[in-house]
Amino acid sequence: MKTFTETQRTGWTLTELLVAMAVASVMTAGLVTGAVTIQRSFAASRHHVESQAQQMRLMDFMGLDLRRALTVGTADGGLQITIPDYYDAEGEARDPQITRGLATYGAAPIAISYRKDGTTIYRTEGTAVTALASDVSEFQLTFLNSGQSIQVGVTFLPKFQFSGNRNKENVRLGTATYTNTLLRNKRLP
Amino acid sequence: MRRASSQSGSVIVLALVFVGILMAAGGISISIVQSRYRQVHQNASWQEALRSAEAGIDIAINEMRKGLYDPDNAWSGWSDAPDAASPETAVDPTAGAVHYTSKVFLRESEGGQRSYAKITVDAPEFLRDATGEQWYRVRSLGVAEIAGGAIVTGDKLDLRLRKFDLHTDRRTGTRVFRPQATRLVEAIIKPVGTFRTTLLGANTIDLNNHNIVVDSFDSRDTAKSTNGAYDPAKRQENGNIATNGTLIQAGSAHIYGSAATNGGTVLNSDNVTGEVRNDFYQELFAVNRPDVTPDAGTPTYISGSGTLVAQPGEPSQYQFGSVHLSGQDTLRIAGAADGSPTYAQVVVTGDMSTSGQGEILLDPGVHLRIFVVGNMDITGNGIANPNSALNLQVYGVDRGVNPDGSPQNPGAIKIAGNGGFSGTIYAPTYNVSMVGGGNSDNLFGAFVGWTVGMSGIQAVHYDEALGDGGLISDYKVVSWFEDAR
Repeated sequence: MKTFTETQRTGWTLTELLVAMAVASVMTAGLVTGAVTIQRSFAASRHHVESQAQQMRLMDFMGLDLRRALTVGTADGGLQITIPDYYDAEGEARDPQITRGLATYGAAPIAISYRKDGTTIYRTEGTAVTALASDVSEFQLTFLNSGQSIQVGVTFLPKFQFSGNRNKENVRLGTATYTNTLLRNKRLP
Repeated sequence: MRRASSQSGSVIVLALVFVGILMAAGGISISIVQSRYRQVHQNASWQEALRSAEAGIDIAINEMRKGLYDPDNAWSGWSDAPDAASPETAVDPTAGAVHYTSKVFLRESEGGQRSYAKITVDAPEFLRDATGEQWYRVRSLGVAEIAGGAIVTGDKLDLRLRKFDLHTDRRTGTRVFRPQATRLVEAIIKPVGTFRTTLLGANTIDLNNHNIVVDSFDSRDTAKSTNGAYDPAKRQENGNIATNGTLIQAGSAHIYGSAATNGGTVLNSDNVTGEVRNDFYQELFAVNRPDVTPDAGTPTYISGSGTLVAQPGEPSQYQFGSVHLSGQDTLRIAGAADGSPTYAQVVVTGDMSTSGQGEILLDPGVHLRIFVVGNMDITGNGIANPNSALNLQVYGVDRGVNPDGSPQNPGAIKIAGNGGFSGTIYAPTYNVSMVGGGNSDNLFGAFVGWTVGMSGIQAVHYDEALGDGGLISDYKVVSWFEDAR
């Protein structure tokens, strides 16, 4: 019977080592690059989703107020609204009254405004200020007041863009959301 | 014999580590996506709840309209108790709040959730206006069930805006069987008078003189009238003319208001200051002859001077076969000495006319309703009404209509002469004509006919207060508020 004796060679040659290190370096570089790309992609996607969530929140807040608005103004790129003073000091609903042929609540309407200041969009009701959306420096609010209805638009710039794109506004258009709200409660002058 | 390598065990460990990392990443991604997906569902339900609440308001207004056109079935199925097991058939919101829960609307997609409206209508005394008309308050709670379980999603600000009842109804404190979004809308509903337009022709309007003027004023507003009367310096531009038909011949008349057809054309509209529209339609209901029991001593017809007495409260009732005044004949409708409101109702089963110096004279404070079954020809001094145009209401009793809606035998109502006219005419089965003379005749009021025609030199001044008074023909929302608590 023929016997086979194993060699006692346990190390690698220098060439093998260099090749292995080169391959490992390429693989590591690829992994790191991939991880960074995925992380950036994830961050950009998260930013996009959060921006959309803030966009929807702004839309819904403004829609709620516009539907019950007595008057609407769009000066200085913001939105100025008055709504009936529906709640009393205890926060309970008031009974309406007929005043000069109009249904009214309370003594005087409540003023509400929406404005962007730096990286934040605020809603102010009376003296109470609420930051509705933060980190929104790239947000733009647009208003098209048609009298008995108003179109509200909210756009933002996503973080992820094609490197060759030189017109950011085209990208902004892709994020545009518009709503038309019938001003159900608006009073004629 | 080959000896096993001592290096082979690390591969499976590395593989498990990578699988673990991938599973964690996948799990996080699924968790985020699921959360967003659930949030989208909840937002959709929140929006659906508003649609349901507004549908509830429409349901309530529909019942109010039934009170005008189909009173036997108005408020059928409503109850005077919330969540009543067996709805009643004859409830009255003026006697207390009435309630109704709409049928359930099942949306086949978007999780298949259900939505419905819980409606409450009342007519409290503080919602009675200065003319005594009752307004209504409608509270409609839109409910939309949420797909995806009772799990909170969204930021704090989102939850401050969009409130959900995941376990407990936040308004009542009771436990809910399924998570739901609810939105409560309170609307104030006001009755609308028949006379919302100056001239309304069910079929056509024909103005054939460019000197005709139609404008408006508001007797309730000192900026739009002087001492409650028309003032040319305070002219308003709500002297609207409209037809349910397809043709208005505006005749280059000066219309200080809009002109509207039902999908038709306005000819010679060069002097219409407002909009020219083609999307108009107003329901015109039939006027039935009142079942009048004449007061004792009432003559069967009038052909000479006389006096009818109006009284406070319930109107005095008169019925005549005909009324013809000519020469120096004067029919006085006597009211209170101090001019306080008094009321009278006259039914003329035949024709009615004035000519020459003949006239009908209303005392101050008198409210007179005339129901004419035959034709009406007002010339000469006509009808002298020193009060608001609302105080004189003339109705042409329904003459029956053909299948196409045209009257079977249209009557005729004519106003001419130099006496002017201050009142309202509602006669959708009559041809209403106003004939001016060489000088400008001033008419105050609003006019509804099958056809409405004006000729000669005339001006019609519409008191905008007429839209809020007289016969109720519709209801409209005048206040809308979402209670966002």
